Amino acid sequence: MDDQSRTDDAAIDAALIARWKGGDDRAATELVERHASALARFAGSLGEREDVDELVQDTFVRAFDSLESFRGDSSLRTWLFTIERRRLLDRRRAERRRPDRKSVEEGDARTEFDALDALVAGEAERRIRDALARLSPMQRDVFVLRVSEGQSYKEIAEVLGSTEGAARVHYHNAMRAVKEYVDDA
Amino acid sequence: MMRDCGNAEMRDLLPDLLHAGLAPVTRAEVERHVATCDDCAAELRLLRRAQASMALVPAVDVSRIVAALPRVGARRRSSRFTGWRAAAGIAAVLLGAASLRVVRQSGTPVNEPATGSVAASAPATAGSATGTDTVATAVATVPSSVASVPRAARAPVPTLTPAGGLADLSDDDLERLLGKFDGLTGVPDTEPDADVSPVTLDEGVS
Repeated sequence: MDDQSRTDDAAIDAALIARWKGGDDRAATELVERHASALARFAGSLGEREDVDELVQDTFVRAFDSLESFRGDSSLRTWLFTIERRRLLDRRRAERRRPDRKSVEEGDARTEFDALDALVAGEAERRIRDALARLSPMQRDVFVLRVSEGQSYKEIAEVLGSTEGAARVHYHNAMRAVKEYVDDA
Repeated sequence: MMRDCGNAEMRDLLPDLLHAGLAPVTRAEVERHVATCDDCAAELRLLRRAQASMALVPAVDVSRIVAALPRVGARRRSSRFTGWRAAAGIAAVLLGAASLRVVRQSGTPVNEPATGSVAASAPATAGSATGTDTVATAVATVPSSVASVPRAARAPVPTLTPAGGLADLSDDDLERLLGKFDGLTGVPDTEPDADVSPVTLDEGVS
């Protein structure tokens, strides 16, 4: 996404937010339609399978609750990704504290991806999913945001609370790991 | 075996090329590079496959999400209600403070002796059946141990009447009285002291 596209998107989001603040509920529908798929895709790539719908809804509810505080320093989508990721991490921490629940660790993502494999048609895609499942959570988040969502390193750094430089390093390490896995498979 | 292209700047831009996120000039430059670089061409193919593998979007119900969102009107009504409640609370506090000031500045209560003492009022009204006494008894709780002291030796027990007796106290008297209250404990000790002396509020009050 080039700078012009980003500016256009930001302007559309800002106009919809203004309409919603003015009492136009249809603007909320348009905002959800614009960003729900990306949030669902991001949730899926973070290893969430069962409660994606709920997580996306939770993210939007939180975002709309504090939309007054959204200053537009980052794009709305980047801000939504940030909220969604925090919500997911909070959920996982809460699950770890529950004694009757198996803790969600890095390895669990592999199981979740394995389960999805049955639904993925192409062998190549399956191999890549397998490779992604083996990345560290940070590498996977960066790779997904960069490759699937086309986010810039600056935006990725905002979502992950990191720096552009660190995001770039994580991306290239992830890319190298994916290449190696696909080569070996 | 896929290798990394030595041109890190070009490799950095491949995901942007994938998303058509490059300005025309830069896009043309990257495309020219990819056309001549096998490593970047292979990496771009891998990126396309990766993008496709992640394109499987779990279904989301937009209408359900929208239904769960807060309504702007409801949020404004809620904030107005919150503001009204805060204003009412402040008004109540101000009213209470003003009432106390009026009571303190008012003249000598009708049922009080001219000396302004509240200490003597309890014995004087102990036998009466007025509502005022009932309240006074309830407010100024006298320890039961006082009853065991001979009546002659018992000092007049101060009571607080709602008729303004408290307002007749000077600041020093009030402080002494409050100091006595501070010495009282609301919860009985599990191991009471052997020497329990009655609490009297006579000294310095009258």
